[in-house]
Amino acid sequence: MTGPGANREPVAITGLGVTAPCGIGIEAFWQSLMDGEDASAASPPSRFEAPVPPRAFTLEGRGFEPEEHYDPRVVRRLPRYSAMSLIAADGAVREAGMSRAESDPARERAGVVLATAFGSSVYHFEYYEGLFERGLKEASPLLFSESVMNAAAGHITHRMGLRGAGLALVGGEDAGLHALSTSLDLLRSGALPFALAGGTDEYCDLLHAGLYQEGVVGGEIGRPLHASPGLCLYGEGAAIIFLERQESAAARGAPVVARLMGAGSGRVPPGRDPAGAVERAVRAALADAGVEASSIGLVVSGADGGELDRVEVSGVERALGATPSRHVCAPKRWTGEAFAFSSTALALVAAMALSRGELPETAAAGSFAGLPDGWRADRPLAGGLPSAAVVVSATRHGGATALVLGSAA
Amino acid sequence: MYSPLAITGMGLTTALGIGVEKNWRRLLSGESAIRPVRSLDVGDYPVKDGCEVPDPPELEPFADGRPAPPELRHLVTVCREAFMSAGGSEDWLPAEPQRVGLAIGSSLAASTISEAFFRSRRERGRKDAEYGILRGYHVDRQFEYVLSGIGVEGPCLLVSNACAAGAGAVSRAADWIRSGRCDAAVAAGADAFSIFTFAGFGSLMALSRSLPRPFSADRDGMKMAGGYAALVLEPLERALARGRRPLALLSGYGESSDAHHLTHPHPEGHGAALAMRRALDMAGLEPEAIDAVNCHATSTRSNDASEARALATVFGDRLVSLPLYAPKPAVGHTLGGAGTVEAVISICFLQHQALAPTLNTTEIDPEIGLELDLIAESRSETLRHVMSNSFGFGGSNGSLILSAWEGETAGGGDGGGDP
Repeated sequence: MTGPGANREPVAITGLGVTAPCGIGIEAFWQSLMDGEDASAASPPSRFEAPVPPRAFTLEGRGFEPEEHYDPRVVRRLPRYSAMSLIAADGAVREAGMSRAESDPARERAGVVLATAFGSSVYHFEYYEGLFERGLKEASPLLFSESVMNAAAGHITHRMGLRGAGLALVGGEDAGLHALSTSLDLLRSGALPFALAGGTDEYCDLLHAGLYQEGVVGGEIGRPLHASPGLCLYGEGAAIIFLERQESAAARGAPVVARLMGAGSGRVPPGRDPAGAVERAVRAALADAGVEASSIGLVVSGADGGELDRVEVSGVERALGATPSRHVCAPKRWTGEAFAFSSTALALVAAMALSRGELPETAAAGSFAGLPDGWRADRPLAGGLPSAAVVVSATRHGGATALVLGSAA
Repeated sequence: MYSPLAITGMGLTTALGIGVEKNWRRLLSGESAIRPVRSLDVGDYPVKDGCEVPDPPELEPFADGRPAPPELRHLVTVCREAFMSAGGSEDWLPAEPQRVGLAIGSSLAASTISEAFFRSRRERGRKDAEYGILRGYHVDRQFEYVLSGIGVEGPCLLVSNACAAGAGAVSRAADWIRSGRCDAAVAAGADAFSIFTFAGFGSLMALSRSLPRPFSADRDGMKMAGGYAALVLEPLERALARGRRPLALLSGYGESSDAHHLTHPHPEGHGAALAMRRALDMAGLEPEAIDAVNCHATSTRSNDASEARALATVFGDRLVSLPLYAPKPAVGHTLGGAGTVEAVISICFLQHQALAPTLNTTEIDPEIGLELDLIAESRSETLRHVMSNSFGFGGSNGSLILSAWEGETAGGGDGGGDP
């Protein structure tokens, strides 16, 4: 079946897992965001002697020990990228109430779709450093095999006994949303009955120095959508969402946190209206979800305090149309720019907001100069959301990806 | 019910040359691209050869004026060749630009950027190294170059599940069309010959010190290679409506995970067999319908044994007379490119109703305990369905079923219809 007749059913979100400086486990993560906790820390000493900025959202800086959260025999030898991912996946599976029995037939077809921007970058660079300093013969087989981009996805399928597709997707500031969009298609087509989907990126001092020099991340806590915007700090983390078909969740009696209803992407060539990519992505996601633009009262934005914030807000506004009241939330202030992780965290925030009926304050006081009339970004929400469907958007240079999430009911 | 998709264009660059036709002629005549390595100083390293691709054509630079690296120029080149074969010109597109997607399979992604950085670091010192180079490790810049180079504005994805990435890219491109996200899509595979994988697979003792000998008792590994390929996929009815005769059909695709080990395949090939069965299920075919298999066949001890057992599980008694082909002794292991490179080779089989020879193997390893019909010499063969398999690190497996187009086009066309 192709095209217009394709399945457009929403899929159920039944588990959320996260390993991040602002919380390990979804409850801790959510509480930290609701409290407006600054979980950034001093950048760890640079193992590569790189000129790193002083602060970042790093687990290392907060005393993270993977062995405290997962089988030490497994995580002890893993790069943090894979360890964070395994812990997040384990959390999502536990939340979803999926049987841990190896004999569970569901595992035969359950898959993993995990996005990353840089993979296991610390091992990757240590491997390269060894090659350049000691020569070909001294290449480390451990560092090499753990450096492949799908190492974390492979560890998850292995440790959880999942025999469906195990995919790694590499992308930028919207990479995590790619993983969710891809999983939505795989679930709708019946290729997977269950998917662990999300994103992961680890802190690496070399990248920290490079991204800071290139103006991709900032040197202090970010101010996205703020009257005087500032780039977000560099960050790390893993976020995994357990997705399944709605009938499957109903048959298992699994509580549904929220629903993933649609996805879309857009791109414009350099030199053309960049907000057009965002507009197309949001329109495509709404059409995929079968949701009217006018019913969207909340946007979870990938705004990071940089030049693309205006592009994103403008594109979303054009897709959704003018409104008397719309709330926008920019969680990267608290997660940092952690690419595949922080883009997945946007969906995590949307799902939790729909489930709890509350939303953290993420833009701090002050009005963003480019924010359209009726948009609010300066206060937390409690006691109910303005709509039962949420647009999640993430913009990168040249393109954007958007999702529509809906409440469980 | 899955409707097969039409493959209407393809492009290929391997160490055997640039272009599908050149590769096909050389494969059929039994040529191998293995040569002494030129791009790395291998010194006294025990492996000194590999399969390096020719220099790519000069193409436009990045938007900031800096020259684009060879791997991106190769990628654009194979996509343009695919458009040329599908539509008659390099800048032809099968649909509105916004409705055409690009799925790229690559195991390296942009990690070759690291080589440039560490060179800079060695030359300028740790503090003064060009840290800004690492911005290029972020694949968006690579995406933009390729997308602009071919004029595509639809979804873009980089699949990086190791040596199964190319097959994964084909599957994602097909998914986009099936879900209605695209009217057509390009599935591409790309990996450069790099120090990263050369030394890495060497450290795992997976590089042959002689020649790759698939399924042979004296097999000792593979040769590293660069490789690039692209396929244009569109709904069959769309291709036929414009009088286009498909080069082949994508009848089915299956993916699986071993759930066994990061770098070792399941010894019985459970995951590989699952991927093959899923592809057969999607195609609605019994194993008996498959006329030939393009094997992953890396010539490593454990991979070939595992793959042979997986084939036995799926094909049973049919295996003894099922023609098997292994391309890696000819073109090397193109890693993330392999799934698309070898899909193009499989389509050549279907187009020419002929099979190319598997080089270097004279006798199947008795320890494998199976009789395998490994094609020793090129020959004509009636082929309707060819399976192409790719297996990678992470226990990631992908299987594609390519089928001959046996119908008529709307205008009785032979491929020269109105694009």
